[in-house]
Amino acid sequence: MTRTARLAHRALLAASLLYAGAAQAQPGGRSSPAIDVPTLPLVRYTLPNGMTALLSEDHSAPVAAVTVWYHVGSKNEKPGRTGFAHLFEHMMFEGSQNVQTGEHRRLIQSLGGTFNGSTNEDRTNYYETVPSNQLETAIWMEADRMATLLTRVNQERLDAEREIVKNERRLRVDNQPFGVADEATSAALFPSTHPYSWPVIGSMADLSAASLDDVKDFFRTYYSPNNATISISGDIDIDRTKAMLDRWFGPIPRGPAIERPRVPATTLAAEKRLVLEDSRARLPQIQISWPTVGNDSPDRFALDALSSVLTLDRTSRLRKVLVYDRQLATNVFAFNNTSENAGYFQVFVAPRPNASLTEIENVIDSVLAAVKTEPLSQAEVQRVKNYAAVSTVTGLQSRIARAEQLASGMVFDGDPLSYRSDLQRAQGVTPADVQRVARRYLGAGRVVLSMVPAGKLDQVSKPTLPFTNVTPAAPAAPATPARGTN
Amino acid sequence: MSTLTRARRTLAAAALLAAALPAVDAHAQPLDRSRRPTPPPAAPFRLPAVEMRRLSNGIPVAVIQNHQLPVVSVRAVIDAGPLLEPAEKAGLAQLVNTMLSEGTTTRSADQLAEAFADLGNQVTPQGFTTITRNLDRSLELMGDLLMHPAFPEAALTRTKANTVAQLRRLREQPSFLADHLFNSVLFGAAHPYARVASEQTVGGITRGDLVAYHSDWFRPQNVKLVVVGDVTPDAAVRSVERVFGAWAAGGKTARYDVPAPRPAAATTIYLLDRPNSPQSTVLVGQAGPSRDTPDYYALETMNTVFGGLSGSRLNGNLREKHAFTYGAFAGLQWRRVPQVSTIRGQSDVVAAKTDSAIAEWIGELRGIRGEQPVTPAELDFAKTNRTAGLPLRFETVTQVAQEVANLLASAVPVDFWNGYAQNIGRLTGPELSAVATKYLDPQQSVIVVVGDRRVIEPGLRALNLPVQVVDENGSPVAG
Repeated sequence: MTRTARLAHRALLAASLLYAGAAQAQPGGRSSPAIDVPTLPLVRYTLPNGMTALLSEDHSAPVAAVTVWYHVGSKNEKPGRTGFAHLFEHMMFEGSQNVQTGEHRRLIQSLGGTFNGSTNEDRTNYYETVPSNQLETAIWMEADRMATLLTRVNQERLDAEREIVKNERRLRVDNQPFGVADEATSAALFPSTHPYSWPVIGSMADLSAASLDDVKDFFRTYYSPNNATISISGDIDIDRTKAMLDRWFGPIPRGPAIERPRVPATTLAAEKRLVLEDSRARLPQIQISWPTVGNDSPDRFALDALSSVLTLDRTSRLRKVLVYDRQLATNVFAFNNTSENAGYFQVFVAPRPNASLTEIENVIDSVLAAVKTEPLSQAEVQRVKNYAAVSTVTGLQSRIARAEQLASGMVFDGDPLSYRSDLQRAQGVTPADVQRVARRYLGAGRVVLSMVPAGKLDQVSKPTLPFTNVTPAAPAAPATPARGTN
Repeated sequence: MSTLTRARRTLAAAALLAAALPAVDAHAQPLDRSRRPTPPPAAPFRLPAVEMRRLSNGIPVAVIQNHQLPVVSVRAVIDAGPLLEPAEKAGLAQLVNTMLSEGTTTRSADQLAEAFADLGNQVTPQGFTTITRNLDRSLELMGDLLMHPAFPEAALTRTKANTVAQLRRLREQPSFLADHLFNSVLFGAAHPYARVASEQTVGGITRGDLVAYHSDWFRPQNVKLVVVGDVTPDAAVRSVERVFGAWAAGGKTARYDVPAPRPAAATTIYLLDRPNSPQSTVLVGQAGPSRDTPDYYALETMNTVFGGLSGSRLNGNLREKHAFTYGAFAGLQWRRVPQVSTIRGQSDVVAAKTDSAIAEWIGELRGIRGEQPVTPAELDFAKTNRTAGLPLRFETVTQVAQEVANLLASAVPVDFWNGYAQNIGRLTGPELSAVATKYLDPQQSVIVVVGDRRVIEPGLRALNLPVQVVDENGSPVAG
């Protein structure tokens, strides 16, 4: 490309970033005009070895962000090896052929950069933000671990990372009051063979069982360029960045085709009532969860809107009754959790001291009954829509957020710019849609989890109904395989 | 749009062809991955230019232009923090802050919620981040919250009850327990830094207390504003003046008569029993100098070597080498000049290794003081991390707003960052060791441990340090 052409190219990109309003949000309030949502500049292509590259050029800050997504997560784990995808993620920071053990973090930090990685049910990502003139070091390092990780992994470092991950589990789950609540819920929501039934962090026993052979198999199976997407955003030159990717990633051979597990969305035939006790807790909590849909279902947009109708702000139905009118709760959240292949809808309540969980559950049920049977107003369904549009714009501020947005759209929707179409679909949700998904998904088949201080079984919601006590036997060990976060 | 898209596609295709040529050459001989890219020196970085203006009633406004997105971010820095509340009304400052959003003299709380939903962004008394076109309307709402709260009695009753519940839930968290205990034993239970709201103090707070507190402190002389983003200084000041220029004078000027910390005592382990804790939450630290100390740059850079980053010594030891923890970090908690700071580290360590982790930690403190001098590589690591990393610190509108607000809140000049790289760049290894020796003393540290006493006490007793078993407020427990 000539210099003139490149300048023109940059000018076009800048224009498209700032002013192109491809996804126009409709007004959520009474009189606002539509909000222009920027379209990120994008060059998208596939390397001959199958790796997808997404390049987004913007020179408004001298910063570049790189994220590498591998389409593998805890749902790809084998029985008896829960937590392995995340443990493997830790091994990726242990060095590779040309990066010494322990060098990774100091290398990026010595450039003034930041880095991390994360694992969820569906994908694992590795990312760096660096001053833009240091881009190639980040690319070189990511390529080195994709190409040569197994030349450095060894039993000693696997054992160390295993203990570090166990400490991560203690920090996030076992040392938190009611920390195993989500694991217990997922184990009840999904059949035990369903990969979303176990926690991303894994069980202590399974972490203990992970072997060096597991690491090698997992790397060879999933950490190939054809299962990877690299997304680079910020102060970059497209041609030079492409040359860097060709140089460092180009020679990495394509790996085997990935066999993806069949992970259907699920339903529950009947209600399951669970009780969790915790000696470290001082007040009870309650959460109710329903199986819903995965990322591929258009119903997720109406389910998101339903969560807002219930608890977005003080005028939302459930928050209004529980926190303001009846004053039974200090806080309440509803949200729809959508993973790639399945999901769940959850209502979580932090009660006032002395408030009855039974009464709170009854209030939730009566509010949901009204949503299902009486008309919803246009206004209550629309109020969340302006928030969605504005936060989409303000959420594009950092280069790493842009890179992650593009990678996520590519991997889960086949469209890096799906944040625009997602926003449009969210804006199109009607009151009738919200009512329909409430009727369809928020039925009798659900998981009701009462969380009470140890021994306070009288505080359980509807204590005369049969329930399963899922309290872990020992303080540090999880009772059931379920799921958490990285 | 379609023209832009088509033009971009064409250019992208051309770029793909151009890039294909060197790639073929690269394949001709095997790639030598050991020949890593040579990192270029840090590029010169132009700091955001802060324009200081003043409203007609004297309120200072810092404005920074940044047009990378149609986004603006506003912060109010108000000297009305908990240090100004009477000890017997602990929790008052927080209650006032919460109640600012419970309705104004002209808008009910529900009407405020409607107004936020119309905009698509929340507005808090501390500020907001939103799209440019929402700036004026958001400023108007923010001004209403700050200047004209109604403090409805019914909302206060509800908020107090919720606060009491929240106070109980906080005590379920080992990090809260450890933090409160640390401040109680370092500064003394009656010291303002150790003060936390209790059910008793919150229960005694009345609407009259809120009205008086607001009238005293929420006044122009205690307020500074920050506007960053897609707006010119003139337009920003015009918009801010329309709202905040009307803020009436009166009240008091915030002054902090904080008692000096008590003299450092011999290192003691303060143990709070939290049965059934698989990890122990450990804090190690002591009081430090004020934010305006000439040692500021050396201290911060020393801490980068010692414990500020995952690549620092403390995490390298406790996590990477020994796998006692998921992470261990140390840092300086600066307070508004001229108050003292706190220098402390924190880690959650597996219960069985609590004593081993503390022994290693003390070894690292001795090391940074001189037994293991800062190496040239460590010095270079810490300095370049701080200076080359400046572009990341000021990457977004929201970050810039927060950085400038932090300066104003600490009473540090807003041109602080201009000399930053030079001040870091001239530091030497011996200077880092010197501040470590001066401020980090393993003989005079506070060590707080929140964990399962049954499991960890024998090991702690074997460390040859005094162990004091205490309650949540730091008072000794018998036995």
